[in-house]
Amino acid sequence: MIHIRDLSFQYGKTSIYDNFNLTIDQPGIHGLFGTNGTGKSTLLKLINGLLFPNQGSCTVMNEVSSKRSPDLLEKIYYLPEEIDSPAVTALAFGELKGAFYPQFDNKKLYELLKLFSIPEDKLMHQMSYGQRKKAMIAIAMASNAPLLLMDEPTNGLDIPSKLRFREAVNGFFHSKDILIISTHQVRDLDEIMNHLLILQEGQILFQDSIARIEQTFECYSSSSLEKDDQSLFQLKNGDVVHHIRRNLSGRPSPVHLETLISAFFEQPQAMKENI
Amino acid sequence: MSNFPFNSTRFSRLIRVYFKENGRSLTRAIFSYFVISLAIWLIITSILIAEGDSFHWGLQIPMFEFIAIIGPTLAAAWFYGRMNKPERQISFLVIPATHFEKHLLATLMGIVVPLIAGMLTYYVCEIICIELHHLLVTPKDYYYYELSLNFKDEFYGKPLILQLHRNHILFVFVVTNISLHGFFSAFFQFFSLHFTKNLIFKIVLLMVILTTFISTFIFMVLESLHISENRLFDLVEDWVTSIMGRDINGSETLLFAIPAAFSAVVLWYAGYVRLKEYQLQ
Repeated sequence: MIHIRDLSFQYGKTSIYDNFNLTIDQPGIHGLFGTNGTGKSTLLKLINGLLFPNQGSCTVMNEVSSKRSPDLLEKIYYLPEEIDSPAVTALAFGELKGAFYPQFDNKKLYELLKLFSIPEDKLMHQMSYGQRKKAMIAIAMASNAPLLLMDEPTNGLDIPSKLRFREAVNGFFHSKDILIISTHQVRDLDEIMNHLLILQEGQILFQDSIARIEQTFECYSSSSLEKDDQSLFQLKNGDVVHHIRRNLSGRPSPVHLETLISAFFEQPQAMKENI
Repeated sequence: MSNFPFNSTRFSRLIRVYFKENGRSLTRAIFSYFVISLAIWLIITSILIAEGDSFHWGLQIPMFEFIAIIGPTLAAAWFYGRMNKPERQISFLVIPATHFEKHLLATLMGIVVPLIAGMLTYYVCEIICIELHHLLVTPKDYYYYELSLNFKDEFYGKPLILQLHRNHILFVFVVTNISLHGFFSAFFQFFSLHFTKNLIFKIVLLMVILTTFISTFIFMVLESLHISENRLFDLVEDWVTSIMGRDINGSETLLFAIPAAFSAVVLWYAGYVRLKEYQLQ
């Protein structure tokens, strides 16, 4: 679905991507992680045709994204971090936007708005930031676009709303479509993510499915920082220490995402050697 | 839906979204513009009446230029100018419609609607002021007696629009003004896709610099060719006379109207190309 070849992109003189290659064609939820300024949002904008590569190509569903053709745009729904909020209700706004997306589902929108407890008669520009964000998430999910891009969707959401977000993704996302979520909030994607993509300095640090990761690594917790022979990385969280090591059992083992991602940032070589 | 540059269903959806999102602010802007225009005209009329000087029709042309032409021209920068926030840029750029449809929407909402609103504002203000003028002054004022009978019949205390069909000077004046409006609006629209901050100031500054540069250049070329400006005006007058079959006063202003209309089309197309290449700022 998404094919990026030898892409270079820079903001002014600052290079973000240099000969970057990426393919995403597996359906499901892809978590996009990376340190600040590593180019996560830029990547989503390149995929959506809001930014153009300086070199190389970015094609989505065999169409060049920078052309922003209506045929392609109606198959992509992009939810940016900062959202515009017109003076209409969320339902009316969704129905208006929905007219542009062939698979838009008004019933689904209504249910999602209900799930997020969005007031029916409140105009969007009068809503709090969190409410607006939830309304926009509902509209994005109701679009049923084959490719859904979300940039920091859980930023500004309170804890119950984050739970509703996970509930919405679990209950309303079509498994045949692709949802790419760029975030720093690892816990918000715990247990809902199917694929992991980690970026560092404009390159892919790691990309794989959660199923394969669970076959490759396993996590365990202890109360001591003492490193055992097989431990590749440790993450201290209060009194608990999370360890990650190679999974030798052959059975899938749930991984602690925060530990896994931190391990790739801190010990990239050791982690790669064990893949 | 197809990628064909224009699809009427898609375009009508775009207009619908635009009005739903901006209907209130648009109505507020047009109403404020009407109130301010009327207030200015009433103040000027009151001052003139108080001074016993009610040369009313003399006000019509400058008021037409300010209310129906100059004000709406500035509005042309508003459509793309409001895209100075990334979330608005994104909202506009990712909506599934062609660049042509989006640019057409920008033209309709940024140029055509303000022009119509400006014309209507002018017309309503004019009717109100003329009625007020008739009520308070006509036909006692000095100028009324000074004017010839024919002139009074044609001009005095009548809305500008009603004079167009029988007065070619005014017709040419309106055509010239609308052509210039088209040019300046397209200029504002084009450069509003380039600047994000202090938009109006930057565009006006650029316009002054370009106008100075181009007019100096044209003047130098004409001088080197030993062609006087009057000669050029005569040529245009002759050309209009040959087409219309009679002499029409004021037709020399078409010397400005024709290149202005042509430049407006070129700038409009340049704006379309720029929109296609527009990236998130």
